Amino acid sequence: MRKVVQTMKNPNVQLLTGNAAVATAAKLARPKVIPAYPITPQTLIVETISGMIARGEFDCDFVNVESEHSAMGAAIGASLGGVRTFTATSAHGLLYMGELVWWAGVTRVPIVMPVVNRSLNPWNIWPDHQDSMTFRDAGWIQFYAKNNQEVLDLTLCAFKIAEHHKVWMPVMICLDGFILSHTSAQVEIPTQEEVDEFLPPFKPLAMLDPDDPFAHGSLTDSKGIWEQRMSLIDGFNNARVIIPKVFHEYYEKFGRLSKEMIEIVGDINDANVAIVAIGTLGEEAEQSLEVLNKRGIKAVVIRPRVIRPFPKKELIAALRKVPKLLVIDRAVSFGNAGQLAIEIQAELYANKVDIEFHQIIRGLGGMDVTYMDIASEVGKIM
Amino acid sequence: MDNESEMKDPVLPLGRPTVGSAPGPGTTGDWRTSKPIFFEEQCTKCYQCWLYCPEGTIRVDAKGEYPYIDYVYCKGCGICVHVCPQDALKMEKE
Amino acid sequence: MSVKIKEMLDRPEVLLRGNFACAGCGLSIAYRTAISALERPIVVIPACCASVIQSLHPHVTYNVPTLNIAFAAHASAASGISRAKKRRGEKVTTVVWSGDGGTYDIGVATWSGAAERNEDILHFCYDNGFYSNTGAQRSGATPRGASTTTTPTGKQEKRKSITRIMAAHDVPYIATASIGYPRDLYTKAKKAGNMEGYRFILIDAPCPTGWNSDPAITPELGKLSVQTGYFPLYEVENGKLTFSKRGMKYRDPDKRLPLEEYLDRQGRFKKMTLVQIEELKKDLQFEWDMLLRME
Repeated sequence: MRKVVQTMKNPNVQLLTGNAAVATAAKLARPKVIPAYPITPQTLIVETISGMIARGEFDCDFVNVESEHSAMGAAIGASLGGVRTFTATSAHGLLYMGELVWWAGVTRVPIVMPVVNRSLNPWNIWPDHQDSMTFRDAGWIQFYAKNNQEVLDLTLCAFKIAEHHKVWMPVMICLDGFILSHTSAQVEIPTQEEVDEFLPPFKPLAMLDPDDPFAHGSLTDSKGIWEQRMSLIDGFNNARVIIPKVFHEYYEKFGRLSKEMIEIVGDINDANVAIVAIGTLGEEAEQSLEVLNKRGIKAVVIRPRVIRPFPKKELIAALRKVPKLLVIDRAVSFGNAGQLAIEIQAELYANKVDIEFHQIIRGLGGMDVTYMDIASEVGKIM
Repeated sequence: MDNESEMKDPVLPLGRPTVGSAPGPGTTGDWRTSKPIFFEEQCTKCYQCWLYCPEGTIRVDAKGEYPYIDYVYCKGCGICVHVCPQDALKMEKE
Repeated sequence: MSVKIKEMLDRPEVLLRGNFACAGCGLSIAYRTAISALERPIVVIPACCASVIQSLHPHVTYNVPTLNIAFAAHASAASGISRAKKRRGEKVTTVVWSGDGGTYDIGVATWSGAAERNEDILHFCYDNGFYSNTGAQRSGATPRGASTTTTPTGKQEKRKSITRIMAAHDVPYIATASIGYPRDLYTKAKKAGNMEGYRFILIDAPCPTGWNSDPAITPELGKLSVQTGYFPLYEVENGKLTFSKRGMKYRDPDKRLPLEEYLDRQGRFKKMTLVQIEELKKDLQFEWDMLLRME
């Protein structure tokens, strides 16, 4: 994989915050309607997009709706009206649009929505994953980005995956608030021509049309609901094939976003412990490998960039190769445990994988987690 | 499966316009306990019955034609009888 | 100029018979009349009776493209459709078809935002004065004194004036209509359909099931509400109110029929005390006085 290096020779590399990377990806994908409502730490996304439109760089309707609930409502209407649609939110905004997040998920409306992860009440604007984890049941594909480059890459892939006619479901791209959203990093930006080749114009599977009337989302009995839900399960199974396919295509074209639903850093064939973490915690864990190596601990980082569909096959194939595992969750399913820990344990049991399992919760409410902290936690279980 | 052409298509929540859409057989004429009877001799083709019928079960093919009732679906609400200024419609128990 | 029946007869059929609606449903008369007046409508229906008379998937009574959406999301979904169709260069009439619950209560934020943005939406509210769909609980539209399942001894508060709130948004067109006068409703719907911006039409739509009234007199109740002064008929264009031809004479309280003629035919008013009736009459006159100031 090419390393992204900012040089005088590469004008496509810029210093972008995560929010700017989102806005840039949105512009390149050419959605026609963006309804959105500001909320810290997403605010700069809507402001940047508004600025791009005002300067004539982005031909799109930015709809200043009066709440996040209306943002998702308008996004559903716009998508079914027949155009590519995009919105973005965070924390309480995501909760406020919650019933409509479900609506888009289970009635299959292919909206792309970055979620800037932020903790929930009492008021706390700093990052953890409680907000997006709350919606992992809702029928959305979910990505977690480790750095600003991945934010841009995953957002562009999201449109192609959402709109694939065998997938046809909405996609959420999660990025840690402030750590990514407000921090500048090198991001290589593809050209509009390259993106146009990668992402063709929006072609709806179903569109509200007076010449071909149908009702979308009618009163449905249990038989009809069963049929639709089973189809959604099939859709996620299709996505398990199509997501890596799109990632591969992106890699072939742009040389980035290594090709699988999970990223493995370190030598999986010679490791005595694996660290599983998502988002920026994953990249932080990568930094801890060197420290651990100096202490004689051969660790490997297994970082899912896709949480829905849950990448069972890939995770199990990797985890079979290590004797010990530490899962770091940045959210809790209160009453049970961290969501990643719960889901991974289920897979390990289902596949009869013999592994020593450890789990910790870290980073809630934006608490800093450094690579030294992670190395220390790994040290404790060795 | 890995082969896209073998993948099932998404089932979308789409419903199509249907006469007799009510659940079950949809023949809502079964609901009524009395029905309107039409007396052509009294009718002046004012079409008030057509105007007020909630569902268009009193039908008019074109202006100048007499209205007629689709008894398969008529729910027997009695509105047409009430609005007719000419006594061209009367309710009768089933 | 009210429409001739011949024109209405030639319009496409938008509501297909044999649906899930109660016999004598006022909403059905409203839908058949109003939507048939529009060119290429796309209708957004939130949770309300209209989403139930729609019948059971995969069969639908509406012969026009329909988006069913959550209770409080009607005008936002319609905003999205309206914007999308403009972007696609397709000429349609984007319609919100909502009950009083979705317009007076839970959905206020969504239509207020859409009205403030002056979205190209024609918003109909068929008003039966309570949450009919879920079994007749009170709403902001319920008149003082009416018995509902959540106000069994009569609602204490007066009815909300949704049209005056809408007028405060300075939208291009507001009108009230009644299913008792379908040609007036059709004319207003057609007029609004040819305009741009946020347009609102409130329709008096009796619910015989919830009101405990004879289904056969649904149109008569629609007329009585106007003739007793309960439901004024008017239009507001660019801030100026004009009473409709049909309802103009009822500005004069002496020309109105006694309110009891309207109340006596409905079970929901049967237990009203004389004090409550007098208070209701005061509420109605108050609304007339406020409307007269907008003339």
